[in-house]
Amino acid sequence: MSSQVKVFRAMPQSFTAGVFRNPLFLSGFVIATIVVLVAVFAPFVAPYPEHAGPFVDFGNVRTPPSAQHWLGTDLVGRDVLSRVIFGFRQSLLMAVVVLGLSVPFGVTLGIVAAYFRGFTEIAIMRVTDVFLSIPSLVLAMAVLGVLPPSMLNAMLAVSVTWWPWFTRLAYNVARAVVSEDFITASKVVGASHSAILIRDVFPNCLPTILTKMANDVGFIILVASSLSFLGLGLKPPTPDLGSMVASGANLLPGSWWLTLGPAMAIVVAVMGFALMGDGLRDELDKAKK
Amino acid sequence: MRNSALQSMMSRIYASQLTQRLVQSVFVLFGVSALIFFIARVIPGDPARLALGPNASPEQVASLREQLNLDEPALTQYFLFLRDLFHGDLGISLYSGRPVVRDILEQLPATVELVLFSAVIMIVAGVVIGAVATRYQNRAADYIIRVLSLAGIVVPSFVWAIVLMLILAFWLDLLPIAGRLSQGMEPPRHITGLYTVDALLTGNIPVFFDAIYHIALPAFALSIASISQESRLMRASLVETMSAPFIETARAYGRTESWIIRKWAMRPALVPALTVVGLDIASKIGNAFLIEAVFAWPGIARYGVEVILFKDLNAIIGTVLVISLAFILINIIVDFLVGLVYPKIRLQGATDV
Repeated sequence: MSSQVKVFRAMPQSFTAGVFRNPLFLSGFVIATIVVLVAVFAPFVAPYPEHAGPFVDFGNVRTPPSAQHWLGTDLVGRDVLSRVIFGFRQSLLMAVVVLGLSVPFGVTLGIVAAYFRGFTEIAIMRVTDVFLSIPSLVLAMAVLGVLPPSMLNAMLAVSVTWWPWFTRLAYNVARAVVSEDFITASKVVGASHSAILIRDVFPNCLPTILTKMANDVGFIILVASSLSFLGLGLKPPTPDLGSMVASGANLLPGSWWLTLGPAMAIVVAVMGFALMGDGLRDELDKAKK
Repeated sequence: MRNSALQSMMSRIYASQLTQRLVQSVFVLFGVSALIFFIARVIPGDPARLALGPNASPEQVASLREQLNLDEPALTQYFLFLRDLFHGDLGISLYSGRPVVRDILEQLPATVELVLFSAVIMIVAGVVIGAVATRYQNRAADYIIRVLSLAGIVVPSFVWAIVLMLILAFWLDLLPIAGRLSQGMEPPRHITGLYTVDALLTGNIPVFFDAIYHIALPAFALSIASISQESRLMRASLVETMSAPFIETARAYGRTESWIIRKWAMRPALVPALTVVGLDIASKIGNAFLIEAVFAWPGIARYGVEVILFKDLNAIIGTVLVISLAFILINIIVDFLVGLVYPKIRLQGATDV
């Protein structure tokens, strides 16, 4: 029991080196980097940046994919590829904000519950159970349903469903860590609770948490696009991948590119981060052995 | 003799574990009701005004506030809500103007049927693919399963639904694109609300096949994401079981690999796969919202989206509550089934407590 956890205060060199030799991580990293770069430099990368806004060109409505418009044009003649590229921005912003809100909150609760045990543990973990017993998408929909529709509220709604997963993860990892001898040693030499939590427990949970975060960027994009697919996200004309798929679906089977283009964009983005997460997990398992 | 005494002790422990799970679930359900109730009450602005829109008169708003008990303190509101809940009353839906409970009962069977069908597809396909991959253990099978499971995870279910609809319904014209029955087809007499079951019970064969014909595509679209996960797990646990000493014994008897997989290895290998079935079905309930939207399937998920867009508070609370209840029940049932398939789990679980 006692030496099940590999203890380290920072990422060991061998880990970072191994990660970049892992084919899963590497292919995911390349895809994810391209998606991020394209999103950041959208105004320069997109062939028709002005099409991201309320632009209309009724002479060019619903043209199939061509050399000028790789993914065709939509109902009002806008270039789908340009809108997809700007759509990545919304998706990534969503992922960053949701993780920024839910990870610190969730992880803190999980570590605190694992360390203090007793009433604190019961209170935190039972509340977490309640949140986890509503399917994430349904809870996010309900929260978003009662709030006025806006980007910020969509981020809030997804964060409300996201933190409990980090609480449970951090709790499980931290419980193994706190039973280690070096934690007892820290207590004996008189370290304060907060010092033990921050300097000893947290760094040992970090690799697992980072792995889940890499994976989750993709899944947050997936959930966010599901919400906007159902009409609960952003309102036009802001380009959003989920709502683009939804509005294209109404025109099937005719203008299939309006649906499949943005749909493939979601798949590529989610896949990049999922591969990165899988590769990280492989390496983490190796490092523990 | 001693064996049967041990058995009865084991089943008693198992029963008490189940009771414990049930009691725990009741508390979780209370928590869920409180959570969703207070989420619905923290809306900025007046929920009654929000529901009625800007054109309603102040009297209308006041009477709706009265009806929803909005002038009471929040805690009193919650207790009033709980009191009504115990009487099977979730209030009136502003969207349909009818009791929420009636709406939900009407919509629920379609979703239950959809989720059940897709669960069956998922389990059968997962087990078969997993077993085949184990039988023909090589890099190709391994590779295919890994790619499939990745595709199942990263492709959103609404994208699967749209792609399948485009290919199977629009281009090949093999399956219908929407609805539960063909136009002009009378639904069977209401017994369970599941069209296929009711049609069989009343002996209405044409309706039965028409219902199957309509549910096939949405159920398949809903199951794809989890098929890959189930087969990956099934394969992993079968491969592990196949290296156990008791399988060597079977090999020594001269049994064929396929026979060993079917007769000896399958049952112990099913346990890990079964435990994720619960989680997978739960994720199906969430994904059902997307599938029902694509295929115009008249279930509770579609109702849920409509009432959310309509800001119908009573109906939102009711829908989320029913879905969470289903979610919790499914997990308990799966735990129970796992204990049934693999008795050792019962005792292990008991020593853990």
